[in-house]
Amino acid sequence: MPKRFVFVVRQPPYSGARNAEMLDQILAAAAFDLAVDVLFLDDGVWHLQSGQSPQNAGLRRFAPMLQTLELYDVREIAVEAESLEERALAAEKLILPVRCLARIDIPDWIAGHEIAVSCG
Amino acid sequence: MSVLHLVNTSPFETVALIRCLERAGEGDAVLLLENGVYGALSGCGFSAKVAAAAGSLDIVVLEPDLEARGLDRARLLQSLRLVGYSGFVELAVRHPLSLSWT
Amino acid sequence: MQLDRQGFLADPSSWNEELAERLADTIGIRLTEEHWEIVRFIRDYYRRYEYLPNARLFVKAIQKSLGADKGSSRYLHKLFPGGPLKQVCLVAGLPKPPGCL
Repeated sequence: MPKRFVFVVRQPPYSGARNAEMLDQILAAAAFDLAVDVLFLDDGVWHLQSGQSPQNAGLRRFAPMLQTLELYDVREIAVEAESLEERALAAEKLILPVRCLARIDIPDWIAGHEIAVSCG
Repeated sequence: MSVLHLVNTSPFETVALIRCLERAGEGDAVLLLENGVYGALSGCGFSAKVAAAAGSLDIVVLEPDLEARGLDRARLLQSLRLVGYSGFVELAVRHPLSLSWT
Repeated sequence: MQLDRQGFLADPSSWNEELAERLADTIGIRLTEEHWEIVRFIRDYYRRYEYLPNARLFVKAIQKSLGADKGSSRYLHKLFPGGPLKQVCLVAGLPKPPGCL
């Protein structure tokens, strides 16, 4: 059984080098056929906001990179329902299909992994 | 598996501590270190939340970081534990998972 | 055809199929339909996701889209003996992928 990883993303996009490092870490794990889940919490959920067009701000588009997670069999992309709600975001309008978890279920869900990585 | 949560930012500056407490599960530990040690203070806006969380969580403060900032025990919430570096290591061994909140 | 110091197409927007043949020529490859399939794959990947994968992800992505026969280092090395990811990007008129010598 491969080890189960969870990557927890809590920082918003366009926070410097963090974003690219985060994706590098996640994809590196997925490339080695590890069981990878990603959890977006707090401002991390802004990564999933649709219609991001950072080009005019001189920033690199990150959403398309995130969309490759599906390509590499990342098992589960989860978001916390409360984090969405606090930001008036709706799960069905995000750039990726996600599993919504209630805040109360987060501890058990995290505890089901063997390695947790906080990545921005 | 239980989680060791690490909080290293001041609760006067970020909401990391509160966000962490909201997602920590029963039996998890929360270690306050670096500027996170200010979260151990009593009589502040966040203190009631920390005290309440200490009922189901092992909330631990890194003593060298407290001392460095000149905070003495009398000003801290009573339900928290103080540890040194060896206590930190022990926590890391006891909780196989760890997450940083900044 | 303008090349950069490492032999990659200097102006990616000038790429076309005829240029691809000439780019392949510079690394001693004669493009067959099998090569083209991989070239189109990486162009499509780059257009869609706006980054280039590393070598390992590249093989995995091909596996996923074109099947396990083609998504293998052996198959890809046969087509592009000088390093599949680097050479396919060169032929496809894309930037040099990160982490390639």
